[in-house]
Amino acid sequence: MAPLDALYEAHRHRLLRLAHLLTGSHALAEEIVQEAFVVLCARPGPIEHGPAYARGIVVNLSRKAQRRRGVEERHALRAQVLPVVLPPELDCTWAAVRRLPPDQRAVVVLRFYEDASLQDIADLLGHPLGTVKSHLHRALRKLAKEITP
Amino acid sequence: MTTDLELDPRLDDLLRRTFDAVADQTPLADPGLAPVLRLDTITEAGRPRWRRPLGVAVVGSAAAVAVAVALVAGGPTDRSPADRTATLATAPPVATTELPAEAGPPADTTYQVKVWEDLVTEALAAGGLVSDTGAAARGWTAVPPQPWHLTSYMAQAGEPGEPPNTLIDLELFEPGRYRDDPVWAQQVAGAPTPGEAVPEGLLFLLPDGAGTVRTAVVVAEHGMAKIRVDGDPVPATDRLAAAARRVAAGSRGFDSAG
Repeated sequence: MAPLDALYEAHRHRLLRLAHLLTGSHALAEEIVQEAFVVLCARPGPIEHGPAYARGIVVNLSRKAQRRRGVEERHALRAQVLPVVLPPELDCTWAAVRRLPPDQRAVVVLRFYEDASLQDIADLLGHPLGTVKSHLHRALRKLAKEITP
Repeated sequence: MTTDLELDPRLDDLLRRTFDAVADQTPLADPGLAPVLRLDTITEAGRPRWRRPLGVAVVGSAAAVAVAVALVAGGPTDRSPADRTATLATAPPVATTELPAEAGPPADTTYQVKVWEDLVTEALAAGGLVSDTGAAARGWTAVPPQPWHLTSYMAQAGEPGEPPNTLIDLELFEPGRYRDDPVWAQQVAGAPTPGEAVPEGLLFLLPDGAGTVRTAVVVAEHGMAKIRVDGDPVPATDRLAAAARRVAAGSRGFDSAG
């Protein structure tokens, strides 16, 4: 199996879930993961650190897409919202996460879903470590305010 | 800056359980990228041409994507590495479909598709979407330019008196700017390094998870044009391609746009 095929088979679903969490849209997640693999296909030579590289592409495409969707929603245009069925407590949490700005949401998802270290997140997003800490602090403060009684 | 809230065990638990639950509900389509890549030409006389008009859509697995991208990279100046050539030689395309160089008359004439095409026509008539004022007068919604966008407009279509059900998103990329964006340079052109010219006339079609093609990007002389259709009905692929080419052809003046 070609390296790219193996990467695809082994990591596609995880990348899809990550993009879904970052964008809230399954359709958008599918498109983003596909675009990520098209980017990988176009890379010359062997792909080093393929899973990490693919994850970085997915995260950055998701942030870009989420900013765009935010504009659409502010203009009250149609936005695809994934119908997920969750217990009330988790549903409230998911709704609060979806209201976070793209960078804060990316940091929270990477921290609590991917278990990424703050330094890894900083590297992935291309932000200074202090900025990532700031995003995380603000995001958690908002979430705590909205979620906890 | 403290991040002590991160250590709140209840919030930590809630977030982890929420993400796991949502991720578990992510629909996972059948394996296979099912991409559609299309090489084509803009058929206006007197302009440089992409000299390899294959006229095929390639649908299939990741290997087939590699084939298509290798074909893109192997254009007039073949810069594909040996492994791409090997992939090209050995990976069979799952399916190929001949597409006409020029889209014919529409086969379906639903109201929404007609409105969709009218909006494209109107956008071109407005001077290639060059003016925020002109766009606003036509009911287009302007999106603040992204770093690599010249501008972007959205419009909606639907049955009279009913909620809009189609979102059309047209983007014109500032001349040359896409070459500064490594993701776009690689994604659209297969260019190994930012700054390399991409072949004019390249048409890139992106399907969604269900294999429906909703996005088309065309490399034009002065930049790129992208069309994305959200909602239903989705125009036939050849009509989407034709519309994208029209937008690209109509975009040639936007380097002087106000």
